[in-house]
Amino acid sequence: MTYKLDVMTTAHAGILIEDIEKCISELYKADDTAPKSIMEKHLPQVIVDYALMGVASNNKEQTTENIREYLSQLKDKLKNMEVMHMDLAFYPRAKFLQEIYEKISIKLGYQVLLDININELMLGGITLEHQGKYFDYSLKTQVNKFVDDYLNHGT
Amino acid sequence: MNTLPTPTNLYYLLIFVFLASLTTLVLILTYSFYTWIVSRRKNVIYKQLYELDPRADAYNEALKIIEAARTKSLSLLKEAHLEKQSVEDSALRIEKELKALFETKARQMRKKQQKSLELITNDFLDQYKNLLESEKRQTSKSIVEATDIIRQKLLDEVKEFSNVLANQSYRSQAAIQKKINEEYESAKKEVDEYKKHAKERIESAVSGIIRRATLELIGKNMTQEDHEALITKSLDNILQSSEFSTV
Repeated sequence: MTYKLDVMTTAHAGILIEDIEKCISELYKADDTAPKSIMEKHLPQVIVDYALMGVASNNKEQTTENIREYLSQLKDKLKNMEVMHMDLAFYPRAKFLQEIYEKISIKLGYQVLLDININELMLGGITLEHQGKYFDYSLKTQVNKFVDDYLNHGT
Repeated sequence: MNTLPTPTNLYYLLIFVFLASLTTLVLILTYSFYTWIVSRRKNVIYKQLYELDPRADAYNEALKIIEAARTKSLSLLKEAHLEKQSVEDSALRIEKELKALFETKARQMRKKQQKSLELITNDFLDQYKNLLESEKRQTSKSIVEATDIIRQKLLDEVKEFSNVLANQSYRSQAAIQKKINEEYESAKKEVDEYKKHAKERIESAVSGIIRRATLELIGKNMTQEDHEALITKSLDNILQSSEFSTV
């Protein structure tokens, strides 16, 4: 069974990294009896399951030390994930964000973190920056283009 | 009742005053006469007593001795006075002689000193003249040399001043250039700032116009779904674009 990391934006990643750090810090103080309860105290259940399965898939016992090591690796992975900058005219609903994220992930074939900036002046649409290239599909630019074309060519 | 005295009363008063005065005169005369009589009798008694007293001879002897002593002392005093007068006269004479001697000696010494002074003064004058001549020659020489030195120094200073002036001029020019550059940069910054604000204002105004234009073009307010549909469509276009790299 493959677990997918449910982290889509840099904001989500930042919060998760803080939670993982707190969890690791507490795991250092704890004995081997209750690592799971400590994880559940600090992390969402989906992340707890993801970490436990990750340790198991590496053929290791779910000891405090092994879990701590796995969480450290996860933290580094989050920090090193590719970031894609995106401008929207409003902050998207969770469901719509999920849709956008899945489209991008499927196209790319790997997971990225979306750095979403809200710019009301763009009126609508989307702008996206990926690997040094800038794609402007904002409503403002489209209307400008339309107005320019209309003024220049009358069509 | 009349208080004024009558002539009769006044007459009696006068008689009374006359009799009182006469009585007083008689009393005074009587007392004076009595006193004179008593004094006379006392003198007679004292004279008799003195002639009978043996101490009177001794007294007279004593008086004689005292008189002799007084005469002797007066004589001694007179001799002392004469002696003192003689000593004073001698002292005065010696003083006068000494004074005369001193004045003579002083006069001689003064003359001698005057002569020496004249000699020294002449000698000194000669030396001074020689010295002045020497100084004059030296000064003339020094003045000539100093003139050359001053001339050279002035030339050097003028040259140095010229260099300083040139240097200052260059520095001033550099400072002015720097100031101009700074002013230019500051002005450019202000212009850029102004341009930025103007652009923002224009963009804001254009944005409003576009918003209105958008509404008119689209003909209705976009709903959340419309926005999401537009984003989905735009994203599809981007992902399908040949420029979007998946590597």
